[in-house]
This record gives sequence, C-alpha cells and structure tokens, in this order.
Amino acid sequence: MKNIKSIWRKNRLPYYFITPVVVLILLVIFLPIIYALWLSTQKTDFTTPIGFIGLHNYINIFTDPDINFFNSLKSSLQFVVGSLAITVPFALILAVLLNKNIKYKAFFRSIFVLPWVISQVAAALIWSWLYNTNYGPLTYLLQVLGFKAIKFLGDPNYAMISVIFTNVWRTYPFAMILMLAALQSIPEELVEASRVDGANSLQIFFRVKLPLIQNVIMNIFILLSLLYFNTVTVILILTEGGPLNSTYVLALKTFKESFFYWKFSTGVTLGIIIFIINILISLLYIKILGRESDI
Amino acid sequence: MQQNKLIKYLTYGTLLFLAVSILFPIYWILNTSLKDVSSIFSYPPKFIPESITFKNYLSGFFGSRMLRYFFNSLKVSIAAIILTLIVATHAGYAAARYKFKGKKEVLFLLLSTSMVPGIAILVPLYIISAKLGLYDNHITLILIYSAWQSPQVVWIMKSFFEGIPKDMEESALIDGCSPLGAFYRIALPMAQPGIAASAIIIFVYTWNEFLIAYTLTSSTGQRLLTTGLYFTMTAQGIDWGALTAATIMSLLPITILFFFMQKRFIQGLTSGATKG
Repeated sequence: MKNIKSIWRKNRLPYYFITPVVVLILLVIFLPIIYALWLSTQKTDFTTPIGFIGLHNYINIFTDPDINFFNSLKSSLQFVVGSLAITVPFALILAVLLNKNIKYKAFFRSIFVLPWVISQVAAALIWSWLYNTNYGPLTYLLQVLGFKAIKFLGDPNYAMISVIFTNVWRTYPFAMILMLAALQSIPEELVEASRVDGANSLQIFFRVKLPLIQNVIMNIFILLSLLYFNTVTVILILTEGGPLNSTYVLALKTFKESFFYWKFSTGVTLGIIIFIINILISLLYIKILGRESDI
Repeated sequence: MQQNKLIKYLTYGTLLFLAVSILFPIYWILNTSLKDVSSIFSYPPKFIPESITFKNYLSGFFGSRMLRYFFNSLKVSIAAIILTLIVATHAGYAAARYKFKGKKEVLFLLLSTSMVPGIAILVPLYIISAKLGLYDNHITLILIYSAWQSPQVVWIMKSFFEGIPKDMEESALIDGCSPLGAFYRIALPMAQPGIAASAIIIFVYTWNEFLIAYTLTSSTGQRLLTTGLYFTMTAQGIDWGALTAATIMSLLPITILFFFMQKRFIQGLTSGATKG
C-alpha cells in the first residue's frame, strides 16, 4: 500500500493534466486583463494606442461631463440594489414553499428554474414585447385595473424598475436553487426537536432555519451583486441606456463607449474600474467564506 | 387538522399562481408567434389566438438566415462543450487525486478568474484576435467560451472525483494499471454524472452568450442565434410575428435539454456556485 500512496504524491501526471487549463485561462483571461491595464494608460486614436499618458484616462473619466461617470455609477447602484431587494425575498419565499412536503415538487421546481436557462437576449426580447405600450398585455392589465397607460421603457420614471423586473425574472432561479439546497441540508432532527419543544412553524423558520442558512444568503447577495453589476445585454436590448440615460449603468457604458463609439481608451479604462469594483465585491465574498470556515 | 389543510391549499394556490405568472412571458411570445399580423396588432390583446398559423415560423426561422445561425450556435456550443470537458476533467481529476507542488496556486488562479468581468476584457480580446487574424472566426469564440467555463467545470469535476472512492483505482494500480489508465478506464467512466452536469452548464452558457459573439464576429454568416436575434430586433420595423417565432425556436433546444437533465443541471449549478 505504501507504493500506492506514493503514486498520488510523486508523479508528473497531474502537471500534464493541469497545463492545458492553465494555459487556456492565462491566454484568454489573464493576458487580456493585463493588456487592458496597459491600454488604460495609453492615449488612443479611436482603436489605436498612440502613447503613454499615465492616469490621464482615469482622471478624464471622473471629470469629463460627457462621460458622466457618477450618473452611471448611480444607475448601477439602483439596478443592483433594486434587483437584490426583489430577487432575494422572492427566491427565499419560493425556496421555502418548494422545501415543504408537497406533491408535484419536481414539476414546480422545473417551472421555477426555467427562466434561468433563457438567454438575456431572449429575455429582453420577450419583455420588450410584454412592455409594448400599444399592444402589450401589461398595458391591458393596467387599464382593466383602472390605471393610466405607462410607457414602461420610454418613461425615465419607470424604465429602471421595468428593467429590474426583467432582470429579476431571469435571475431569481439561481438564488432560489442555492437557498433550496441550503434548506434541504438542514437536518430533520433539528426541526423536529424544536417542534417538540413547542415552537410553531414561523418560529422554526425565523429562529432555527434562517440563522442556519444566513451564510448562504450572504454569499448569494455577493454573487448576485457581481452578476448584476456586470450586466450589459438585458439593458442594452431593453433600453440601450435610455430614456435620458436613466438606465445607463456602468457596464453598459463600458460596452457602448468601446463598440458603439469606438473610444477604446474610455472603454478600457471603464472596464478596469469595473474590474476593481469586482475585486472589492469578491474580497467581501472571500472574507465571509473565510469567516464561515473559522466556525 | 383543519388548519393544516388550509395551509396546504394556500401553499398549492400560491405555487400555482406564481408558476403561472413566471411562465406568462414565455406563453405570451408563443401566443404572438402563432398569430397573423392583424391579430398581433389588435387591442385589447387576444390572450388565446383565434386561429393558429405557422407562417411566422417559416418567415422568421425556417425560411430565414436564423436557421443558419441556429446551426452556428449548435456548432460552437458542441465544440466548446467538448474542449472544456477535455481540459477540465483532466485538471479536475489532478486536483482531486494528486498532491503536487503548485496545486494551491493553480486552484487560486482558477478561483480568481471569477473576479475578472467579461466586459473588462472585451476590448483586449477584440484587438488580440484581430492581430492574430482570428477575428470573425468561430474558433476564437470556442476558445474564449472554453476558457470562460473551464474554472467552474474544473470545480464541478474536482468535487465529483472527490466523491468517488479511490479504492477501485488503487486496486487497479496494484494490478499494474498505469495512472493514466486508472483515470481513463476507471475514474472517468464513473464520473459520467458529473460530466453530464458540466456539459449542460456549459451548453446553457454558450447557447445564450451574446457580448463576446457580438464583439468578435462581424459577417452575417458567422452570427450566432443571440446576435442574429439582436440584429433582427434592432433592424428598422420589427416583425414581431417572425421575431417571436425565432425566439421560441431559440428556446426550444435548451428547454428540452433542461427538462430532461434538470437534476444534473441543478447539481452542477450548486456545486459550481459554492466552490466548496
């Protein structure tokens, strides 16, 4: 047996096995991000870098009124916080319902997960047709309920919340699945013991189950924050950032500056700023995961 | 007992109501795709089509470029699944079974990719692929998609291999089987459920990806379904009948696969997201 143990330790095989994946991600993910860092210090003539200018691009982003960085940052925050505020409670309610001892559980679960496998392009397309002010069913619903018609995507007061609803519809399943898995991992004996002690269902949920899955919920907050902060496609298709820039989030601005207006220096620098914000959010994630493993 | 029954009915009622609400957007475009033009643009909207027509499917999908994009997407997705699986099952196995120098660093490298947002590397990828003459080429998309999915799949496969006892491989090794043989002939076949879970996770990503495909292809012949739908939608005057039919067709493969493999899909999602 001693021989066998040494096979798992002294062998060159694992190096051959990991080299392809390491090469692939170094070339496709790390090389480009380093290149982006370099590019962000360059002056560019549209798509061509023409010389080192230090941090000028960064200063420019924070000060140029045309770029209007802080307006986009505000939109990003609205989008992230608004989406989280709806997604997390909604996903939790569904996870709790699906964790009950009910018939057709698998059936309900697959219906509730379905939006997650739909592309952002299709989701945005579906919802822009739902939001259609002239022929859409939502306009009809408002009318039946006695409200005035709303330009869901054309009115700066409603565009952001409309975009958020589409985003929630597409992404809540992810949170729901993780919460459901966490709820299912709670040992039955623990719940039974509390019941024997006289706790009712509500007390069991808030005093026993919720504290047990609170770390999972924290992690979901952070994973979703990353996902939402980097969202481009849904917003691009629903509103292109309008009306009056009310949905012009940072990630979308990065994309449009790069590939609609071909201003690579602005686009790349915005991309690096987004990268830095991602690192900050991820560090929070690692910190929370670390705290979890200390226990 | 009476109260328990009430709670039960309330639970089913809520679930049913929510399920109908969640499905309604998809039902609505299915409904539109089966209507003729006059009925699409009528108000109040008709919630059930009066007469069903498949004309939109002919004009919007089977008789249009969209069919080509459908097969482009299928080609790119399958290639990316194969490449990612080859690369990631090996790495996942090495990480699960072997102790080697630099293992910690490699795993950290893989984890840290999740901090890099796609939007931050689009411009560099565009410039690099143009310089290498790989712009507007499906091979580029396949490589990028594989790199993008590999870390997660390595993680899924790693936790899968860790769940398989290594006795079988060890007794084969004692019998003179090579370490390579132990992987290909024993561990890999046993990891089939993990491979299936990974495959569907990769498929959902590649089939739905838009930004990279938009950025790195330009000719109409190279478009994927997502970019095809986008350009149809941003063209002047949307033909909603044709567009909704094409959208329904784009949802079909993924929905079918999802219903058949949802257990694996959920398994992959939970083990990939928690990275534990």
